[in-house]
Amino acid sequence: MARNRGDEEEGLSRAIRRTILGAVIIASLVLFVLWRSDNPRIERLRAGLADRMTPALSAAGEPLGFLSGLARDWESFLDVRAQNRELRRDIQRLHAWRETARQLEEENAQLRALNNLQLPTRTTFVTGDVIADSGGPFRESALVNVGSLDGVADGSAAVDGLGLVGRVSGVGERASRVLLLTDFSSRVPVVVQPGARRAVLAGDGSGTPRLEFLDAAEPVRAGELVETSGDGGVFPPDIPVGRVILAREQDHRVLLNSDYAALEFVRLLRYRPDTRIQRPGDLVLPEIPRTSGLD
Amino acid sequence: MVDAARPSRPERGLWLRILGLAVAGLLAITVEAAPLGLGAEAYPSPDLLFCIVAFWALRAPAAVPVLVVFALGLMRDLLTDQPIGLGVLVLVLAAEMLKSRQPVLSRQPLAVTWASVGATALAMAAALWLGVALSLAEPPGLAALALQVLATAAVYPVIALILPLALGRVRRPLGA
Repeated sequence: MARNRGDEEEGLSRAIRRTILGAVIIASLVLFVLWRSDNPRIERLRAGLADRMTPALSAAGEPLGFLSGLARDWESFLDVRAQNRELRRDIQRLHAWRETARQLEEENAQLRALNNLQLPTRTTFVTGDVIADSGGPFRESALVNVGSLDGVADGSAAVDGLGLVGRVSGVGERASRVLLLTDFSSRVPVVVQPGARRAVLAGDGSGTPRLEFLDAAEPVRAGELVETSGDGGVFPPDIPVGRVILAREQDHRVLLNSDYAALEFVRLLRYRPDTRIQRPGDLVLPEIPRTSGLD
Repeated sequence: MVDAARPSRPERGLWLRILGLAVAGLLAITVEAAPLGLGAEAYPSPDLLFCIVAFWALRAPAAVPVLVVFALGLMRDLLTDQPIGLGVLVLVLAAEMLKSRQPVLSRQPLAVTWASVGATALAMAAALWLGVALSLAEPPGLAALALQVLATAAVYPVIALILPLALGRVRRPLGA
């Protein structure tokens, strides 16, 4: 009798477990469908969780970052001689550049004074600490510990000291997610200098994003500079992105300036395009003299 | 070990183990999310959460409730930008699969459990890739995915050897 009851209980608990499992599976599938259809609720859920977890992640990231920094330092300690030599050579080269830069600056100031130039509004920025990354191969993004309270908006450009890193996609109050340029879904309008040839920089999961829709009358050569174009009014123009490399024939890629491997801090730019042309211009006519009163 | 005067002992042990799973899982998520190298060139971090869940499922399957695994997996999906919903689904199914095989697997030497955990990780990666591809999103590169599976497989025995030491050698499998 007792044994029977035990069996019954077991059967019941198994049924409960099955039901829970089924519910969990259905909930996961619903979440997946919502996520794929870019439901704003999912985005809010994600931003909320990021807000909540920011302190914990920062705290956990500290010792781990310290350890990985230690490993990196040890590596660089091992080849310190070679590095030293390279640095000396760099310093020499930079001395020459500094002279050039100073001359150019003077010249620039003089020309501006002559020109009565209207400079675009200053872009301000807020610097954040990278507190988490997407460790997996599915998305390439990073979580930064500044959010809408600090003036970050969806679409803000993220840069490090050297160049563009990515774009803010998803903002919480205290945290925001930066989609890196190498992610599959990253598309950024750029220009190739010199000549301002327009293109779209498209991430494809590799370390060097591809240049698509190249609008080039003349061929783009390896080594040419790539900057943001500011088309679309999302990014400020003229942020350095990288240099063109040629992987294969007709496969232009960009070697990024920004250093993802050592990314600790990023600047999120608070940029608002100063003018937007909202409507087509009117026909400009010569002023008609008012002569009706005299006649 | 079982104290006759306090019949609630095994029950309490079970709750402690569930709590242990939750804490270890949270720790695994924060470690996975820690920014140690970004971008496509970086080494993919191993699926630590799966290693923890697999270890628990093979050690104390009664202490791996579906809802806890679901909560952990969902949290990981949301924080680390995995395919939301799909990642957690695959994790839950893998945990259930390992739990159902536990009576057989727990008697095998570490090499055999290692191989089956590695095979499970591979199956999970394949399912994720397929799910993403079927939903018409851009699936990740197979090389990166394979690297992640290798990393996961490499980390599992370390976790399986370290955790029992850290937990003070809880030898007897619970609820087997």
